[in-house]
Amino acid sequence: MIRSIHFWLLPMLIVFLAVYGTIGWNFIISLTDFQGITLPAYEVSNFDLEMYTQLIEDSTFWRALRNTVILMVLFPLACLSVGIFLAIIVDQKIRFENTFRIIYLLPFSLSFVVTAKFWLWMYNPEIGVINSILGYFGLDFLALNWLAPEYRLWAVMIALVWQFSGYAMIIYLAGLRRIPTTQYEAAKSDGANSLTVYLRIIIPQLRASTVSAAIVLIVFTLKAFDFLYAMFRSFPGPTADILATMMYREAFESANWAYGATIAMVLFLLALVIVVPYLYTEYRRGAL
Amino acid sequence: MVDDSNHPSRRRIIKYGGYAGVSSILGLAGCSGDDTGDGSGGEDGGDGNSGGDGGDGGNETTTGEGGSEELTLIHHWSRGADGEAMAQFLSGFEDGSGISVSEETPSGQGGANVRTIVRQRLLNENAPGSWQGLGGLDQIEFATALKDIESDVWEPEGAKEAYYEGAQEAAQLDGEYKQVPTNLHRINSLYYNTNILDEAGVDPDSISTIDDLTAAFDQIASETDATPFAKSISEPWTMLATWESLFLSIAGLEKFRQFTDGDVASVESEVRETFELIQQYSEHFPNDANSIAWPEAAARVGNGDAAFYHNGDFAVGVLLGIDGFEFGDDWNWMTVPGTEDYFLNVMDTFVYPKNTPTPEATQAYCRWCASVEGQEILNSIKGSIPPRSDVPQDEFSGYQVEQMESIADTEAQPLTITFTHAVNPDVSSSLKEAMGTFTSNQNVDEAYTGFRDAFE
Repeated sequence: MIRSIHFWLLPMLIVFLAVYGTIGWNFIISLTDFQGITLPAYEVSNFDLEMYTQLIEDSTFWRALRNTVILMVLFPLACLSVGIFLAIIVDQKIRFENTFRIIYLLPFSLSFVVTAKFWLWMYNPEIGVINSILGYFGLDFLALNWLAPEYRLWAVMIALVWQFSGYAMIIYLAGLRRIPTTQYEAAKSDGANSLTVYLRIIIPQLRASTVSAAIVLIVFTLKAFDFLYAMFRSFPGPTADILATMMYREAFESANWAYGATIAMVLFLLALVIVVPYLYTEYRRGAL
Repeated sequence: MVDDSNHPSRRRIIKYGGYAGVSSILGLAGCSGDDTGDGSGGEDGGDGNSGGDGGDGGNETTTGEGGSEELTLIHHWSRGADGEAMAQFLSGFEDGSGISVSEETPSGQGGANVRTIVRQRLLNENAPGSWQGLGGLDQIEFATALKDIESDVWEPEGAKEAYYEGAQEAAQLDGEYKQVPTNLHRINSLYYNTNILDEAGVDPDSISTIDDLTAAFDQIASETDATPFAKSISEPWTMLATWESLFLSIAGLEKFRQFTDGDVASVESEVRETFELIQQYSEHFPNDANSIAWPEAAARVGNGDAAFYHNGDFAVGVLLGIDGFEFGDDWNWMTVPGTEDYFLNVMDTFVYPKNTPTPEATQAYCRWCASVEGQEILNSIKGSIPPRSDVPQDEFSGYQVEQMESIADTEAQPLTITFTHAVNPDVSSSLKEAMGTFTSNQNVDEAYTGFRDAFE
């Protein structure tokens, strides 16, 4: 290890300073009362948990946390469901498989700003294509004011699922291709129908794909700021406000640096809650 | 064949490269450690900002005397009429002073990113020559870093005599002249499509009270297919602008100021009444009010889809930009009923940072901002009106001339809440958040509590 130090020390220091150094610095700021253009006194005697206390008493925080958790749970579930469905379809050796794969994956390659503006237009209840299409098929009763407060978070979720299900599909497709065909054939020869084959044999073997895709998708929800900002700017309303937008407002609009840093620490802890058990499990399985 | 024997191996290159890299990183870490040390002295840095002339001297790195300085200017007027006006304005300054201007123009609505950059530069003790802000308390967080320019800028330019009272109020922070307003926009104006009002049988001259306006909306809804009131509610600030205009009408100037002073409890009934009125008016908003931005809402008046529109008069640019849609014939304006005597102000300002490295250029620029000639160039192209009362009207459009005459007749020019003139950005941000919540749930009790708590 020592002999190879010149290979790993530089990247390690860069990562340490750029990532963990800034996380540590952010934590220190959250212990101060840094606000505006007056630098705080970085002395241990001045550090306290006042910002954390303030955060606990802030109803906006609890609302944003609730929306963040809803997004964290439901968005990955929906995305994985659509992803596995698409992967199974594409895995049927259909014609133009590559074309379909590209079509499904394409939204993932688009910028969030583009997709947010695109969906903002599609959701318009007067001139948007969603309500127009529903109207064309006589389904006017389904035409909603999609961005009304009561539907807003769901509207965001649908748009995100559209963008990310292609990614889930690719992960699942790779998982499906690793399963030996002999297992399909053996199950079929035992009289299992297709549904049983997928439910009992195939899907249980996609655990690793599910976990890795889920982790990426959940962590993304913690950073869904770009999408919401492009759609609604910094305040998407109480029904769609998430911690990332709240943090932006506090830090960059109100210059409440310490309070913004405190919200960032909560986001960081949420990310750890997701990532650490995954890493630990993988470590126990010998996959790391 | 090339003899490689004297060349270092790839492994050796990586090895020494690695050592060099590590040394650099450690060196940088060491440097940042020093910086941190300075930064904590940075409390002193803060003091330097807030106070000292010595600090000014220490940071001055003028490139020469008089006209050879280059002024670094951070502003957000880079597009459309704003961009063209600023280009002409700066060209006039450069020609007249011999000082060149280096512009930094971050994008972002309402100059939000200007503020972010300025904060960063001041924290790094790297003040620019000047920057653009909004008037009044919008710049309060920078107050200690700004120089009092009453004697260096306001008095030599005769600005204290020529500026409207509201603009003078907005120029001051903690009782000192620290900003130079360059242009005014009015918040309490309604814009309307004359053809739709004709079709509905509504005479705009007969609308003198809020009840008249409410009746006009109802009549337009029943007599035409047009949307009575084109509002976008996707961004809380546009709703807050409407709220404050209606609140001024309902509460009057004295209570408006009680509110901006933070005494919300004393005007509770008027605050609630204004929310209830907005609740009532929201029935006349477009069905897609939460999907459209304010320029689209304004354009609907121009397209004949909506009768009335409300926002600051920077929105007039949308109407002026519609071909064949003529001011006076096809559209016109009126003050929000009950606010005829007031010019609810929003303005842009420029400032003189104490620690600017180019004090002479900054002073010359601030004087240009305060001058008759500078304001004539900027405002005539931009579509706003000058904060000075003595700027000739010849170069201004018909709409602008009407506004210039109108402001001269007003009793007072109160400062806007929405654009953080009358309240500080923190309070304004909380008010917008409460307004965003109100547009979502229409809960007057929660909205009132949110407004009251915004000042705490």
